[in-house]
Amino acid sequence: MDRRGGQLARLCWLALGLFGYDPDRSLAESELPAPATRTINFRTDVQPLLETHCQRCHGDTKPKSGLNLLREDTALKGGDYGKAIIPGNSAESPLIRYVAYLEEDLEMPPIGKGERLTEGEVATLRAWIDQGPVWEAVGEEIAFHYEPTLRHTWIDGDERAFREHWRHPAGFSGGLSELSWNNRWENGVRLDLQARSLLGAEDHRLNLELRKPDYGFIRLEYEQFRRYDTDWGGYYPPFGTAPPSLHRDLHNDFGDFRTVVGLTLPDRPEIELSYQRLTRTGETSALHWGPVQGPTPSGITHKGLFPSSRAVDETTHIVGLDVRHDWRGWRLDESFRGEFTRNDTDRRMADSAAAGAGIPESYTRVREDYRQFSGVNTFRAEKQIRSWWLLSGGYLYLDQNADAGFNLDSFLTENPGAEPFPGDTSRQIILNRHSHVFNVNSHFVPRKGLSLFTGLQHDRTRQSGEGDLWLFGTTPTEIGANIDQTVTEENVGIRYTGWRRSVLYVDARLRQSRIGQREDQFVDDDFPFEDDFMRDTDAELDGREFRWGWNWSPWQRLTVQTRYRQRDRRNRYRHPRDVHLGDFTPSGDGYPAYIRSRRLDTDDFHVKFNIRVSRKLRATLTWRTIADDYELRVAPVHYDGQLFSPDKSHSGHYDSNHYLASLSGQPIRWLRLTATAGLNDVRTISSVTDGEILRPYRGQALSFLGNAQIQLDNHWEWQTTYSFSRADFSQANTGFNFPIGRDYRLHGTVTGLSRKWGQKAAIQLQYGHYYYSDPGRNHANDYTAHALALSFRQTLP
Amino acid sequence: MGNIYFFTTLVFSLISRSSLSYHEGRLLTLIEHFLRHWFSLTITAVVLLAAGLLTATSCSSLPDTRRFPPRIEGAQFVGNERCADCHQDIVRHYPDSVHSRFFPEDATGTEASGCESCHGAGSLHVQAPEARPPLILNPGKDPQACLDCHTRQHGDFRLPQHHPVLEGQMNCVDCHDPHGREIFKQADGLALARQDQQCISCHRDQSRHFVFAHEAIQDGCTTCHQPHGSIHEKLLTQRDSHLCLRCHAQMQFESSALLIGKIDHQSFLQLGTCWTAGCHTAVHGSMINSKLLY
Repeated sequence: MDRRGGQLARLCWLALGLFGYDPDRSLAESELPAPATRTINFRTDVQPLLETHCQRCHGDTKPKSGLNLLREDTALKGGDYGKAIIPGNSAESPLIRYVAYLEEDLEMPPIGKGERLTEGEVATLRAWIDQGPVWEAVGEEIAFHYEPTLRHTWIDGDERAFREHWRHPAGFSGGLSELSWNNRWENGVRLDLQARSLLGAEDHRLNLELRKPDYGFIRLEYEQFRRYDTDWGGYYPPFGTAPPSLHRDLHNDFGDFRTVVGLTLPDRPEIELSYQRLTRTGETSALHWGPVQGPTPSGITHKGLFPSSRAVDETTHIVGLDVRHDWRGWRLDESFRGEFTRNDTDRRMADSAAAGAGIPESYTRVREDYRQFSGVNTFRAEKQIRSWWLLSGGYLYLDQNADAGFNLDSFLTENPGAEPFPGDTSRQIILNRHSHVFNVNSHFVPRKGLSLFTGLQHDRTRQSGEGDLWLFGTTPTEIGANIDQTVTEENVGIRYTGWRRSVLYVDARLRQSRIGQREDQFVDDDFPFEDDFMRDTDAELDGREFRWGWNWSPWQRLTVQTRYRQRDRRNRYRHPRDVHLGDFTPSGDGYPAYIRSRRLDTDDFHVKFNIRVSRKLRATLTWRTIADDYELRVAPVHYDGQLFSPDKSHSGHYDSNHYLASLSGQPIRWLRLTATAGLNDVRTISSVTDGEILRPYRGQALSFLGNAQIQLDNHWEWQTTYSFSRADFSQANTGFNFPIGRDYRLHGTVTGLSRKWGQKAAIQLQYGHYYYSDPGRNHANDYTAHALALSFRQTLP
Repeated sequence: MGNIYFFTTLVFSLISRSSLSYHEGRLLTLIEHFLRHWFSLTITAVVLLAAGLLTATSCSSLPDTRRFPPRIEGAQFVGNERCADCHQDIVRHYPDSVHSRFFPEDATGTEASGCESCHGAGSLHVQAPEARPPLILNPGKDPQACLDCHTRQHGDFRLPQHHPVLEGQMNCVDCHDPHGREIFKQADGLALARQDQQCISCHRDQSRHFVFAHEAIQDGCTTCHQPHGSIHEKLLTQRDSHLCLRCHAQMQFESSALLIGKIDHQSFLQLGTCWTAGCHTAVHGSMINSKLLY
């Protein structure tokens, strides 16, 4: 077209435009399928289309581009690209152009992410828009589910051991093992409730959430459960008496209450404000066993056997604020936690007891109170810089302030009303800790099948603790310690999937830590006291961990997973100052000040075979072996008038081998089963070669876990679970050493029959049999238990 | 093979390791360790060899045998890309996660390709993402999806001492992040975890600030504890003084004196373990005593 022709054409288009003619629209409309001529019913014609093609991205949950097509108000309002539907005018409604694939880069559903609408479906949508459009509100949806349970447990033997192992008490327990109520109203507001309450077992849980889409939510969570402990001490066969017991019901109650209020307005930062209260109260067993005196063939001897307990009363209040926002492609997360913790403990340890005595002759009591405020703020940013580069970074600041008190005393049990003997006491200890942590990470995908990760983290922490201390309740002393620590970690990883049906990966993590530490203690007078000391230690801790692995499916019936991990840790110590001011202990004897270096090397190899025995049956074979070597170097030692200068001290070797075989699947139509058997072989040998002092620690633990479900017919099902574990770490030597071995057998079987009425209701009767045998404690903990449980499950409507 | 092991042990015992360099000694330890487990190595080699031979002769039509996904009644597999439509935050970190190491992009069959391997087939969930209860498996509520593969941990949770996962009082995602770079929970996305943060969030009593802290805390809780389950009280990895002696200096003299901290500990060790004998009872740290006695 020449220049004059072009001007003429523009004039013609301008004239047509004055009469409302749009050439693009006319062109597009000619390409659109004609609207359907029938009357459109939303429920039968349109809603299935929206659910199939649109709801996944443009529904109530995080609608893409802010466009929710399921509800009239949000659909007519439009989204980030403006209005999508123009009532009565389908030809000009962008939604129709999107689904007809007339808008480049805005084809809906996006190419490759769903099936394109047929011409008939587009015609239906056009007619719907031209005829209104009309929505029928999504009706109220209710789902209700409940499961009452009643259980009775009979225990013959040590009830406390049973409760510790299976976390269930003797006698009756029951209530609702599950309750759920999900309700969605016509306006989109949703209520989700889940609860559990088992009286007797002291196991209660409630989760409640009320949520309005594109507005916000309120969430309440409450949980409480009980953990049981045994109250037995150690067993030493030569005494010929049963293991001592506290004869007390030891347990801890854990509570967790949390409430969150959140705002989820579209195009606004998501904000969550939360409050949490964590509690822990009760009494637990402690492993600080007190000395018991008794006769043996070689004379009177002492062994640490008498059990101890520790009462804890702990409450933590946590206030949290979380803000999350997407801004110019950046994902920004800001999180603050303010925590106030109150912790009071009371620990009681036996000082001395006679073999076979029910109570010790005297106790030592340690009471501590601790109050801490902690503020933590975390900021994190993340952006997909390029399609092949994801970048993230963050900063954490921690500020902790605490004060504590300490009181130690001892008393005779035969005269509990008498004044206790005072021990070390501190009325005020002040503790502070500050941390700064920086973090930057990148993920690269330079080519298909290859991904590369790099990460760097720097952590600097300073902490101090100091306070007054009254030795034996009378001698004023000052104690103090500072630690200044920096930790730098580098992490690099590569994952390659370019080779057929395999994944190759290599990881390296390096960690450098530098610690400057000061510890001192001074009696508040002008004279050196035997407990006075000053000690400075500089430590360099370098860790390296390398890991590589290969997961490969060479054949459709087999996948091989292999992994090797090597970890080295080198600790070096310098001691610029190590001074004891007392007359009895020479300077330089501070511990661990005379350690020069420490080294730990770990090799860890793991191989696993997944074998598809048949289409519905899979077997796995696993072998894992770990070997640790420990080494120490120490400064020359003066002992018994001689100077010993060890060049190197090989302090120990640990290795374990774990073998595992499992079978799972549905070999025949009416049978589903899983079975796993494992054997763990462990050995530790230290450089203490005298077996009368310390026996090498070695033994085996064997376990089996099996489950079978048999579908008897369409209504009846029988299910059985069996678990077994056995450990044999018994220590044969009882001559001089106190054998802390472990030797037990534990069986648990639960079998039950259930009757179903479709998916709506079921009833189940279960029987459980539990058996425990512990020759390592002269069978004092043995038990045999039976349990019978009846439960009913119904779903409404 | 027993003769080979005996002969090897004899040779190694004749070699004085103190005369070797560090790397020579380490190599020797490794060889000794592997020879002790010749049976396992033989089985491994045979299976690998068989797998290699089969590779040359097989063609694949079945999905890779990586795992059996959980069953979702009436649902079909839809593939990872469909999941990414809504769960972009998770999917973009996933290639860096520990779990991504098990699923190659060219795995045959969508059930072996990632998301649906653990969550079950997703077609019903895609159609009704807000359905309650969800039409897809959430391992955060039911640990079975994790335990199908992590069979060793499943066994650990049935040991006499364990975290209450099978009892429903905890779940795997309380401590672990299955999608992030770090398997530990407190890291988010690509971030690295601060050591032991996942333990500290519950065990505040043990992780509080002490004037004299036990240095082992620097090495992490798992230095002494087995987190999933243990045959020993307090989830300890070992139940005698070896646990402490692995790190603490010791020298043994012909006079039968065993020096730890330049003090003869022989009689103390015969009383019991370092902490149960009533001595170093403040194992995590002490407010007043630098030797962690109280």
